[in-house]
Amino acid sequence: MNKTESVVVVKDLKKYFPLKISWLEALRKKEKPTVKAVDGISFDIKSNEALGLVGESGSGKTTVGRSTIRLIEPTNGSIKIHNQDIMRLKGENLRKARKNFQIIFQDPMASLNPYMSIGKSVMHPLEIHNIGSSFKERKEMVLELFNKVNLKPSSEFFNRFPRQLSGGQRQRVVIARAIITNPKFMVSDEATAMLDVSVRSQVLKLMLQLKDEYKLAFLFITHDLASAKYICERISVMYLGKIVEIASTRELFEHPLHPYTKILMGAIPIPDPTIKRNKIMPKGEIPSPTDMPTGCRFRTRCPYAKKECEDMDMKLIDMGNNHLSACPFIK
Amino acid sequence: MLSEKIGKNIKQLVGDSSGIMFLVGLFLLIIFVIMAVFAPYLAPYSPIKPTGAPLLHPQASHLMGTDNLGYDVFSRVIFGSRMAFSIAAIATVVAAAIGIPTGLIVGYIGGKLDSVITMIMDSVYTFPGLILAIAIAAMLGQGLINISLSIAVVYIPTYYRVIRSQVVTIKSELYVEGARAIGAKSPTILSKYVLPNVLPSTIVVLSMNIADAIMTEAGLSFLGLGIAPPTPDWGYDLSKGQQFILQNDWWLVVFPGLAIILIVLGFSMFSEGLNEYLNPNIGEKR
Ligand SMILES: Nc1ncnc2c1ncn2[C@@H]1O[C@H](COP(=O)(O)OP(=O)(O)O)[C@@H](O)[C@H]1O
Ligand SMILES: [Mg+2]
Repeated sequence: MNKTESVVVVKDLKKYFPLKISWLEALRKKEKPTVKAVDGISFDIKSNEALGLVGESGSGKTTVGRSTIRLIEPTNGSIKIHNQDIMRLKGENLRKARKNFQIIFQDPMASLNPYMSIGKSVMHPLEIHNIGSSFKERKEMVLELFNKVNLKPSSEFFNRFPRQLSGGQRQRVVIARAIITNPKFMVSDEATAMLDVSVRSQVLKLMLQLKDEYKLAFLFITHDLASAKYICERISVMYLGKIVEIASTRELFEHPLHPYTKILMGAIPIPDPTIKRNKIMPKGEIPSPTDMPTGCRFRTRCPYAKKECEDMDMKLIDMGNNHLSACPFIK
Repeated sequence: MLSEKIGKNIKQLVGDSSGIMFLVGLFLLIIFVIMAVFAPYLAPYSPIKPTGAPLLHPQASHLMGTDNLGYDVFSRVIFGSRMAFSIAAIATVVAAAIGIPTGLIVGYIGGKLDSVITMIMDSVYTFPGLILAIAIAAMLGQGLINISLSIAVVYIPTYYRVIRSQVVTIKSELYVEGARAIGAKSPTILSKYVLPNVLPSTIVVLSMNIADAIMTEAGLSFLGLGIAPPTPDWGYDLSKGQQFILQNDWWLVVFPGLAIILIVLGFSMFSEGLNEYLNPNIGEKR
C-alpha cells in the first residue's frame, strides 16, 4: 500500500484511563490501575475513503475517535493527518490544525449551544480560522452550505435556535459545522444512532455525498453493521480496545474470519439458545476492561476457544487480499 | 440565602400560582422604585429637618407621625428607599463583579486552584453573614461605600458557588467539547458557550441577593454601623424608634419596619417567580 496516499495514519494508539482509587490504595499498589479503553490499534484512511469502526458498546470506539483528533490525550501512539504529526502539536498549533479534522457526535441535541443561533454556530469555525473576510461573506458561505445539507430555506434557518429544530435537522447543522472549514478528515461517532429511523437513511446519504464531494477521509464509527456496509469501503471490527479484523467491506461480509465478526454478522449459530436470534450478540457479558482476560480478549465468549487462546497475543495476521484478522486458528 | 427561603415558603403558600407571586413581587418593587426615584416630589417635608412637634401621632399633616426630633417619619421612609437601593445596588454589583468571573474561570480550569478557592469561598459562605458584615464594617468605618463593600464581601461566595457549580456541569456538555473540536480558544469558549448558559441562574441570584443586601444593610444601620445620621435610613430609624416603644410610640418602629419587610418580600417573590420562569430546576441543583 502506498503510504503517501493516506490522509490519516494512526499507529499503536493507546488510551488508558486512570481508575479513581483512594490514596491509601495508591500507596499500596505500585502500578496504578487503568481502564485500557484503547490498547494499541493502527489504521490508515485514504482521501475519499470511509473506514468503518464497528463493535459493541464499551469496546472503545468513541475513545478511538476522540483520541485520534486529540479531543482527549492519547496515552501513546503516532497520529498523522494530512502529513501533519498531530501528536507533536501543542497549544496554538493544535488549535489551528483543527480545521483539518472534525467530528460529528452521536447526540445532536447536546452538541449545539442552546443559546447560539444555528447560523452563528456554523459560522463560528470560519471566524476562528479566519476563513472569509467579512460577516457578509461568511454568512454567504453558511447559507450555501445550509442549502447543500438541505436546511431550506437557508436564510430562515440561519436565525433559528437548536430547540426549534428536529433531531435530523440538528444533525444536519452539526454536519454543516464540521464540514465548513473544508477538513481532510472527518470522524462520525454514531452520528445517526439517535435519529428516527425515518431520517436516518437521509442523513447517511448526506454524509456519503459530502464524503465524495470533499474527498474526505472518513472514520465511520457505528455499532450497526448495515450502515457501515452502506457507507464504508473498508471496515474494522473492534473488541475491548483491540481491532480484531479489518478488511474491505465486500471481503468482510463475504468471508468474515474472526469469530467475533462472525457472531456480529449472525454468520454462525449463537451458542446460547436463550439469546434471541435477531439480537445478534455473543454469549455472556462483555468483560470489564479493568479486568481483561489474558491472551485473546474474546476467548471468554468465543465458541471456538481453546487452551492456546489463553496466552496468544492479538496480533493482526494478513490472510491475503488486505484482509487482517487477529484469530490465527480460522483462515 | 434568607430571601430564597422566604421566596420558597411563599411559593408553598400560593402553590401553583407562582405567576401571581411574581406579579405581586413585581408590583411591590415598582412601588419602591417609584418611591426612590420621585422621593423629592412624593415626600411632603425634608427628611433631615424638624418639621413639627416631636413625637406627634400619625395625623393628616404627618401621615406617619414625627420622631423625637420632630422629623417627619413619612418623608424619612420615602427617602430611606434611596439608601436601601443604593447600598444594595453597589454591594450587589461589586459582589457579582468579583464572584461571577471567579466562579466562571475557576470552575472551568478546575484542579487544585478550584479546590483551594472553593474551600476559601465555602468558609466565608458558612460564616454567618451579618456577623461577617459587622466585623468588616467595624473595620472599614461608616459611609455608603464602606457599608456596601462590607455587604459585598458576604455575597461574593454566593455568586461564586452558583456559577462554579453550573460551570462544572456545563463544561462537560457536548457543545463545549464541540467548541474545542472546532478550535475555539478557552476565553471564547467561556464567553460564548459557557457564560450564556449560566446567565439565567445568575439573574435569579442577583435579584435574591439585592433583598438580602437590603436586610443586611438595615441590620448594620440598626446596630449603628451604617450610615451617619441624619441621612434617612430604615435600619437606623428602626433602632432609634425601639427606644420609644415602651411609651407606646409605635409608629416609629412600625413604618420603617414595614418598609423593610415589604421590599424584602417584593424581591423574594419576584426572584422566586423569576427562578421558576427562567430555570425550572435550578432550585434542586443547589
Ligand atoms: N473518561 C473516561 N474515564 C474513564 N473511563 C472511560 C472514559 N471514557 C470511556 N471510558 C471507558 O472506556 C471504555 C470504552 O468506552 P467508549 O470508548 O465510550 O466505547 P464505545 O464508544 O465503543 O461504546 C469503557 O469501558 C468506558 O467505561
Ligand atoms: Mg461510543
